[in-house]
Amino acid sequence: MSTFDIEFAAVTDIGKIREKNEDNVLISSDLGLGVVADGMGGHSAGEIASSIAVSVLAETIRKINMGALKIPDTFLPKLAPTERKLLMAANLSNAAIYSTAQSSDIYKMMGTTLTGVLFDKDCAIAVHVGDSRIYLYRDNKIVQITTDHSLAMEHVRRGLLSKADADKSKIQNVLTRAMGIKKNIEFDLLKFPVHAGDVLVLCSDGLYKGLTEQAIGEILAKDKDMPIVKLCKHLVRISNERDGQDNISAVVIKILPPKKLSFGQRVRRFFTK
Amino acid sequence: MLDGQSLIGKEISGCEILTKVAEGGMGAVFKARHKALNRIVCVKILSPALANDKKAVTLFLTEARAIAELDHPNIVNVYNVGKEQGYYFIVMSFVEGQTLSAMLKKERILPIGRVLDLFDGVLKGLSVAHEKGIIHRDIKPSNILITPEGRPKIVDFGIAKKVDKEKGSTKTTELAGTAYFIAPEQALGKDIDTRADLYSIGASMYYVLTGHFPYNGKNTIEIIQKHINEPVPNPSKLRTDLPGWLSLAIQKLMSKNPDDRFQTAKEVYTYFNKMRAEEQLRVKTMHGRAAIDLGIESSLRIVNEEKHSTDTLRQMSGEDFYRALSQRNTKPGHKTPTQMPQLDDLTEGANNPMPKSAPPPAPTQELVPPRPVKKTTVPSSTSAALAAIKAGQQMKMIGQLFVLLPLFLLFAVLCSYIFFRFGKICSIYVSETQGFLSNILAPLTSGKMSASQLLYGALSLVALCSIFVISAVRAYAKTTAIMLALAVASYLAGMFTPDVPFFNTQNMAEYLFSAEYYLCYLLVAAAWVISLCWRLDRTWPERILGTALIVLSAVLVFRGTALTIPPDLSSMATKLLFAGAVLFAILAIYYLAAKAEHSIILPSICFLLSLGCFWFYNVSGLANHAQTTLNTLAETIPMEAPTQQQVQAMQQEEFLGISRPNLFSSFAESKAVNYMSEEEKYKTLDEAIVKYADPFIAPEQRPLFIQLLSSYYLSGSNKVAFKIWDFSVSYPLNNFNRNAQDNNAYSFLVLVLFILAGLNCAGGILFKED
Repeated sequence: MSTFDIEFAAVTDIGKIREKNEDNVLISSDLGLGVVADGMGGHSAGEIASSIAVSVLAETIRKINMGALKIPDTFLPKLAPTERKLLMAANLSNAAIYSTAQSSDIYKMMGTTLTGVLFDKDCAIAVHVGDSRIYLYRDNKIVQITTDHSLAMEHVRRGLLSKADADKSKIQNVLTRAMGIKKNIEFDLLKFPVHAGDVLVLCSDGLYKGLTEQAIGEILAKDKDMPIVKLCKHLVRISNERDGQDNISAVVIKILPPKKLSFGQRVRRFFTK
Repeated sequence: MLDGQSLIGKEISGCEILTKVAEGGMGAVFKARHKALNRIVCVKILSPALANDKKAVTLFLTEARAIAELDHPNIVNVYNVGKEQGYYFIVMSFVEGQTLSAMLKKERILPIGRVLDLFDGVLKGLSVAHEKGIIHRDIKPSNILITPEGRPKIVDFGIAKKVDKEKGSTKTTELAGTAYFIAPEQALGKDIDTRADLYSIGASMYYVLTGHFPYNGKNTIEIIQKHINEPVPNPSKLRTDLPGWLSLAIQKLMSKNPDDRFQTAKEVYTYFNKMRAEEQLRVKTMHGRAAIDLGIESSLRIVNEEKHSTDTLRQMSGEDFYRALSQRNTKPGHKTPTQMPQLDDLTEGANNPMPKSAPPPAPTQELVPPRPVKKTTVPSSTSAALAAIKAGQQMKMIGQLFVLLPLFLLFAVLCSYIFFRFGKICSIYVSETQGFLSNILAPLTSGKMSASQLLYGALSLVALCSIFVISAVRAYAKTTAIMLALAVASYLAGMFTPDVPFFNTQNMAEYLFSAEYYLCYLLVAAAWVISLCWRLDRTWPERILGTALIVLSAVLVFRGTALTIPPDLSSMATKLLFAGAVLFAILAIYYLAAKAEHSIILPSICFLLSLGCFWFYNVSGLANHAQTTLNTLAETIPMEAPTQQQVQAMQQEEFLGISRPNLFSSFAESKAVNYMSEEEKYKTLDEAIVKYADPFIAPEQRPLFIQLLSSYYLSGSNKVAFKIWDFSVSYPLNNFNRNAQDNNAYSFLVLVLFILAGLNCAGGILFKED
């Protein structure tokens, strides 16, 4: 669990033109977890894939926390326990989607992105596959801390395409990595310390199509005292107004500044392990 | 749903579905018999998932109609298109024969003239399509079918791909076009026109003529990026007999910029034909050598390329991943070598008898040295920042240790002192003749309370509450248990050693190996064992520690309660007690150590029973001695029965409801002492003991035996057995209390608990979980 008090908010919206919402979000303050999954494949069950992704991820973490599920010792033993927990959960999640996809023609070729953050002590650990993003807002600056696994971004990394072109490119939707497409996939695992006052925004591509990084930063700066549920809705609404071509999902996580603890609370915190 | 089996045997648009030939994400292709014409056809059915998408359906139908209009010998014919039974379908001609890529695999080398003949047909077909504004988007050898007569036919006219493309925002892991033959502008996601097909024609020709893909790489992304980035390769380097004009034409077709290419398909085949005519002319005019190389086999072989998945871009090199990681100071994720599933393209599968392509090589697993990349601006993601934070944490921890620990210890001292004072006030109720428990409870049952007693009682209650409040969150916190033990120990110290100052550490060292101190050690060891029992999933060191502690506790209780009177070994019960003690100890070890299940209750109970049995065994000698003495006394001292008057008075009192402590038990044993007042009874029994049994009762034991005797006369020998055992069992404790005045055992106990609480608290700060 995190040493900070953390607030979570999540909103998902179908957008203006889509017939179904293939995004799924999940937040759990018990687990210290926030996840966004964007199901894909217009011809397959994208919403099922994303739903499996978030639920299996959360359930696995919960089970590992409870001790009902043990991470095999051979599973990436060099990583920290929380990282292993998150990766294990992501792996199981992928396996669940993949096997479901293989089980029936209905689900064939379904897939999903998965971007989740798990808090541990004073760090956040992110697992990331696909083109959903995590933005970190700190000290009035906003940074995208994940790399999209899209062909357009691959081109950007090789300098074949400018970032601005990539955002407009048609191949932005061509993912180079996604959950449920293969039995084993590689996950990006990022660990970074969080500070009080940080705001993390996890979003599906629908959100950043309507709102640039800068625009998100401006909204966060302007409405920083807004309750985060409202802020989250606000972000999604603005993005929907500006674009709305895709499902829009956002998870906003705020690391609260440490409260002035009363003496009693301090003493209590001190004695409770 | 599009279940291949369910459709077989059905009829769609007058065609009886025979077998499924291929399936892909967009739908499935079936071999079917057109009933009216009695002709084998090919039926392509759009995936029902896409059938719900109006935009997709419109495009599917428009494209299909456009191709139907084409009606060119080099393009697969479309007979019908429409919707039936909820399925969108296209009926096409069924082309016997093989794909160009399959032919290449089989024949290994194709004469240049034959290749030019085939591509002449392909380009003619393509030209017609382009005139109609239809772009194929996926020209490749496996999309060119060669009929048995040797005529090329272009298949898979980008129908489904077009659909996919237009649904711009739909996420996909596939890119329209095949990595080995994709035009740069297509790979970059730009708007494409007919000239993209010409690039693919160039790349396909390169492959067919040389047997090598123009660009190759570890994964699809790399290949695609080479199409965008790397200079156009020269096919003549691989096939030396290639005429210079053809090599140049291929390179022109593969220009990065569409404007540098041939602009139309027609232009290409016109040029080819012109050059071939010129060449033949030149050959003829020269020494009459064979025209170009028709039929001449060169030493070129088709290299068995490790073919990458054609349409998919799902792979990412491990290298890239590690770069991303090193950039962010993160740790590597899942590293299992991965394989891409082969999701064969619809028509490729339909017409390509080639064996399934081999999976691509797994991404490299070695950690590639980090390349110089721009640092992210996340301020704290650098290792320096991490170290700083870690150092900060340590400082904070040390700070806590220096502030909170003394605070805690102060609190512990305060609690301890309050309980000590409370115990001291309550010590006035302590009676030598009472058992241990009755002494502790005496202040509460006395009824009257002095002002100071009330004050310290309230203070103790507050201290007790604060202990609980402090550790309120967990039901069982070790600190709480230790603090409670400390409170109890302080209370007892005050109660039983009121003359000793609060914290007297004098001459402790002398008594470290005395029975009283053993009991102190026992308390700690037993608490430790119980706390180990509480731990779920005990590790091996914990189990070994648990075993050792159980054995130690057994030894300590044995030594701590050992009396000068040896255990009564003549009785079977005593032997059973000893056996039970050993058995329970073994069981406790078994449950705690050997059986690593989540058992809390069983080992604790066994352990406590074992301690209890040892205790009882050790004091059995005293109990036996007291019992024997009592029996002897009872037999020796003659006691008169009550007189008639006494009985009458008794009955009157009973009738009037006057209470006497021994009123109701008087009928059990009718002895005169039962009707005496307390002082009278004491005096009578004292005199009797001195008179009849002086030799074997020590003066200090006399009050005890007087008490036992009066109970004996009141309720009989059997009931007194309980009192005797109560006395015997609490004897080591009473002994402890007596000796504690001299050896400061209580102070020692308080000190030990104090240290334990401090250690526990420090541990809590240093190794806190969250």
